[in-house]
Amino acid sequence: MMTGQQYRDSLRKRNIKVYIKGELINSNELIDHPFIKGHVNSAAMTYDLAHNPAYEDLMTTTSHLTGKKINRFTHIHQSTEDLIKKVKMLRMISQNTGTCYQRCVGFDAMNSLYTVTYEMDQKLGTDYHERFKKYLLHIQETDNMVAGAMTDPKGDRGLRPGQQADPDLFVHVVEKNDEGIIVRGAKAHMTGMVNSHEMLIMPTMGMNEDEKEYAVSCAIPVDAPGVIHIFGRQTNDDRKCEGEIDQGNAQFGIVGGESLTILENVFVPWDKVFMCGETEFSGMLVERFACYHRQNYGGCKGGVSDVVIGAAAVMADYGGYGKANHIKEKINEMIHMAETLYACSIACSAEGKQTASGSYYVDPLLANVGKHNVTKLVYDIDRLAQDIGGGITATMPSESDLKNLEIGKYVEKYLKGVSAVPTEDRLRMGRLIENMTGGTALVESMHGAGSPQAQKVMYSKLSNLSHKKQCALKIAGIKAKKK
Amino acid sequence: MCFKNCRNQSKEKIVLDTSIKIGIKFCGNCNPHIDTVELSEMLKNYFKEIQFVNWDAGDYSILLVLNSCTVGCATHPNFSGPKIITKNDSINYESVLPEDLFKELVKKINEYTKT
Repeated sequence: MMTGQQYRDSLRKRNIKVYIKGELINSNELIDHPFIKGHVNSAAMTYDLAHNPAYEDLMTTTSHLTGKKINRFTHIHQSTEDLIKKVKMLRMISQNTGTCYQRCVGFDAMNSLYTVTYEMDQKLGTDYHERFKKYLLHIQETDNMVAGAMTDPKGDRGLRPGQQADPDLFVHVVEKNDEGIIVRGAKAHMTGMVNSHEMLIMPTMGMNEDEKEYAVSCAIPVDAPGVIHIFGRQTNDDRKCEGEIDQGNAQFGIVGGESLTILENVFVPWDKVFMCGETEFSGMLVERFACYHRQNYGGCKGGVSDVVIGAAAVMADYGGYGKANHIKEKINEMIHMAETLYACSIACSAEGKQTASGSYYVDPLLANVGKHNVTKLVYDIDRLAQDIGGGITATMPSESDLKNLEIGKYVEKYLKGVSAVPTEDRLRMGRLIENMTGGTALVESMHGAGSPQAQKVMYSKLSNLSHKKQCALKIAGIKAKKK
Repeated sequence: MCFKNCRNQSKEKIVLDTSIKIGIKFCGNCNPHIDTVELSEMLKNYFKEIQFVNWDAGDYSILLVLNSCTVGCATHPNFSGPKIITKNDSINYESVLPEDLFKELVKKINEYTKT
C-alpha cells in the first residue's frame, strides 16, 4: 500500500496534460498548483489513513485474489460487512477532510465492472472477467488511484447518441484492430481525474442494439496520448492564490476537483477493454455503478455534515449564543438529517446481496433513496448552518484586511464575539461554513452520482407498487377481481 | 471523553507476567465517543513492564480490541487466546461507566497477566 507521500511522488511521474484557466500546466508541478493542491491532499488521506492503526480497520482489508492486505479502495466487496465498512470508512475520511477525497468513484467502477464482466462472460462466452481480474490485480498491487469515468457530455438530451449532430458527444469506438481499439469523445464532471493514475471508462447510459460503438468500457492511463484534461472552475477558486483563511478549507479544498476530460483518438489495448459492443449489458453496468455510487453519499455527506454541524455549533459558541434554545433545536434538526442520510447508506449495505460473481451488491432501492435524500437534506443542513452562522459568513472582510497594519485592528475589534476567542478563529470558522455550504459544494450534493430524477426513475421499477395496492385492497376489504 | 480523572484510581499494582504481550486492534473510529488512541497510550504508560504491539504483529498472548462507540464493529482477528473487547461503555460486554473505563481495563488486564 502506498503512503500519501508515495502517492504524491507517483503523480509527479505522469506526463499528464492539464489546462487550468487556459494554461497548460507543467505535469511535474501540477500537484503544487493552488487549484489542485487541496484535492491531492484530500486523496492522500486515503493513503495515509490506511497506515494508521486507529483507522486501518476501515481503511484496509484482505484481497480475495491474493490474500494480501490492501487499501479498501481497491477491494471487491465480499460480504455485507464489507459494504457497511465502506460507508463507515467514507464517513470517517470526510470527518478528516471536510470534503471529497475522490477515490470512491474508481472503487465503484471496479466493483460494478467485476460483477458485470462476469455475467457478460457467462451469457456471451467472452473473456472480459479474466481480463478485468488481471487489471484489478494490477490496481491492488500498485495501489493506483482510479478515476471512474461515466458521464458523457450528451449534447441534445432529446436525441440518442447516434442522432447527435456531433457523434463525439458520447464516447465511442472509432476503430478496432488486432492490437486494440481507438476511442473518441469526452467525459464530463470527472472527479479526481487530474490527480489519479488511470481512468475506467464506462457507458453513460443503456445503449440500444444499433449503438454498439457507444457500449464501451476500458481502462486508460490519465496521461495516455490523446488525453487532455480541462480543469473546472469552482466558487471563489481565486482565493486559493491568496492566503489561507479566506479559503475556508485551505488544506483540502471543495468537492473533488472536477475536470472535462477529452479523449482524442485514444488507443486502448485489448487487455484493458472490458466491454466493446455488448449493448445488452451497458444498462446493467450503468445501474450497478450508479447504485454502488449512490450508496456512498450517506457516508461521505454524513461525514461532511458532521463537520458542518460542528462548525455551526462552534460559531454559535464564538458568538455567545450557543446555549440559546433555538440553536440547540436547530443543531438537533441537523443531526437528525445527517443520521438519516447515514442510515440509508447503512441500510442499503446491510440489505446487500451476493452477485453471480460472488461479490456483493447494495440494495438498489435503498441506495437510490439515500442519494435522493442527499439532494434535499444536505441543502437543509447547510441552510441551518448559514442560519446559525449568521450574516458574517457572507460579509466578513478578507484575511488581507485582518492582517493590514492600519485597519486590521478594526477588523479584530469589531468582529470579535465572546472575549475569550480570538477574532481570527471566528473568521476562520465563518469561512469554513461559507466554503462548505454554498456554491460548488451544494451543487455536488444535487448532481453527484446522478441528479434527483435519476433516482426517482428507479422507484417505480424497484418499489413493488402492485404489492402495496394488494395490501390496501385487502385491508379495505375489497376482493380482487379474478381475470 | 477524558480519562484523566481515572489515572490515579488504580494505584495498587500487581506482580505481572512480563513475558506477556498484548496485541491492540482499534476500530476504524468513524464515530469516536472516546479517544481510544489516548486510552491505549495510558495503558502503555501504566503497564510499562508489558509490551503492547499492533494486532498484525501476530506474536501476542492477549488481544485488546478498542472500540470507540457502542456499536463495536471492529473486526476481530483470528485469535484463540483471551480477548478483551472494549467499547466506550463496556468491557467484554459488561457495562462500565465511561469514567471508570480505564480503571476497569487495568483490572481486566491484571486478571490476565498477574503471575
